[in-house]
Amino acid sequence: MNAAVAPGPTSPAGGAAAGFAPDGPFDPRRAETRPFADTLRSLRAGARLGWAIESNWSDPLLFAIYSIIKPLGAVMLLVALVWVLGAGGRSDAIAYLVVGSSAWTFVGAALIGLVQTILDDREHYRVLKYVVTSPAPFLAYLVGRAGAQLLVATIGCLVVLAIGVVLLGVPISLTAINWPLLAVSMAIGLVGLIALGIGLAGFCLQLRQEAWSYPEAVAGALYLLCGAIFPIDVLPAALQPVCLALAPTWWLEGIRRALLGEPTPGVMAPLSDTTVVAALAVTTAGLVVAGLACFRVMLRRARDRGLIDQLTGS
Amino acid sequence: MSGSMVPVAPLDGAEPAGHSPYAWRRSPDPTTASGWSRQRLLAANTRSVLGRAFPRVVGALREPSWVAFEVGMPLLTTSAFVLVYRALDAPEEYVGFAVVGGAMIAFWANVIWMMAAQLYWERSQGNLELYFTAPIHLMSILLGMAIGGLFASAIRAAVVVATASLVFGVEYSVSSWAGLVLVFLLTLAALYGLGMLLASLFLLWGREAWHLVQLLQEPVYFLGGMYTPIRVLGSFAFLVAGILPLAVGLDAIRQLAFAGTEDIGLLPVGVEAAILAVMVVVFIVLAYHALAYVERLARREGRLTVRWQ
Repeated sequence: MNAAVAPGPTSPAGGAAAGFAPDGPFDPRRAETRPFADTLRSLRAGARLGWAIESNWSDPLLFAIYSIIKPLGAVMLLVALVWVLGAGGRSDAIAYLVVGSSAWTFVGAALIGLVQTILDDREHYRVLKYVVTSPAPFLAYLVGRAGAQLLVATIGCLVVLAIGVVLLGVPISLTAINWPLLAVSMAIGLVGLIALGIGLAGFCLQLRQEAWSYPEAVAGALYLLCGAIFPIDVLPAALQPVCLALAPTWWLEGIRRALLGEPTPGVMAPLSDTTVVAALAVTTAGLVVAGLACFRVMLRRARDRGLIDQLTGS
Repeated sequence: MSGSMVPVAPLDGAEPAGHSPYAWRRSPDPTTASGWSRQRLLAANTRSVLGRAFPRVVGALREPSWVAFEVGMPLLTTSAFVLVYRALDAPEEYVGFAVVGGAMIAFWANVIWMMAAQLYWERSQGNLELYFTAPIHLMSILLGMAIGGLFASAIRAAVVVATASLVFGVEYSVSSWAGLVLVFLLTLAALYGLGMLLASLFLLWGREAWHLVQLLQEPVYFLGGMYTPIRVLGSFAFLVAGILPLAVGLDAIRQLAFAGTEDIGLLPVGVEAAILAVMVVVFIVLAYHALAYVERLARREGRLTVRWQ
């Protein structure tokens, strides 16, 4: 950092006023001098902006309908598979599908949402260059944007679960839920998903074409491998170790155990709750390290090659 | 319009300005203002159809990366549904139902993303003003989009059917090839007619377009019976069959492609083909009028072509 820069009002020598200084010189050291406050502010700004864009400045009621119908359609699509086979009495299958499908809204929000955020800012709104070059922590801004998407996903997830309980007879009772397991699984799992989304967003900055499709491809692959709508035992034996190495597999298992009170039959059945949480923590740690490393490397590369303000027209 | 030039209304009683392209002329639309002969207008509209189809066809052939996504992703989704059927010990014909439905998603996705929402995106890219000011009908632009999109979607659907059938061992027993081809073509015509209608509506609804596209995916996959016969919806299926060409077309295609499964179908194939034929006419006529309305609105208010609206 250039030491010759005149101290601004938010630098140690320039006073403690928060935010932009209307009358002082620009101080690029601001983000370094008040890291926590700036990070928090970026997070908040990202979340507020994300919410505004997500809700598309539309009527709240209309937006609520939009947010609910899509995940509801996804879960009904699966439940119809059970109905059509006349297996409506198989409450275990319906419960498995409803819980997996409702939780999957978070994956869509974290992966597809984050990549769309970064690409939209670059290609559509064309503000990414300003966000990246501002002293605001870019990562915090992105996490804030993800927070807004996850909030919308939470609404969809809860509504789908409620409909599953009321209309489809999914055996979830508020008094029987293993709340500590649910909280721990959800917290760790969401961290992992955001990390994966951030890594993917950095990667997609490098792409010329089809960048929008990558998160959907990754989400599609995870959908197949993580036991979202069928137990991983159905997959060929060679793929099962891959499934077990993926954090979302353990995240979904943790949520299912917490909500339904019983493990998924098959390879997951003999494992204890502690083992599931430990596996989730370990695989998530790997995901966080890989995701953040990927993001930093990719962001540096994007800066070097002038990709931050590149318009691909994709 | 005759083969000669269109009469030009003088401004404020002034002498007609002749046919100079720079003269101000009172006219309802650019087609009339152009003063072109019928043949020339036909040629211009034909060129517009080909011109709008060209980038889609060439793009599909020139950019190999699309294969990975356009084919790979539907395969992943279809595989997931097939595996659910396998996990539930479903009869094998249901696997075939899921594969055919997965292939038809290619066309539906094309209709909603590259037809319905396309004019909205064209506006963001600044092309919409050009369309409205060119002496062509907007239907020719949409027809070009449909032809180009059909090309790419047909390849995608064919690859999905071939690969998934091979991987999951699906066996087809077609009861009537002619009927199957006819129903398939009617389904596509009705689908793209609906796409043309939605294109004008999306333009009117502005920023809600994104949400609408989202709404037209999973909920429509469920209602349209993409992975399950629509009979599962009970009497509600009849309502869906009357609105959604995908639902009725897919039901007929399944009955024809898997002989012996007629009892799973909603209506006899002949009735479903007739419904599709009616849909083709209704959607295209509605699209024609909706586009004319949008064009009038765009010129009168000058707001529809403004970005970010």
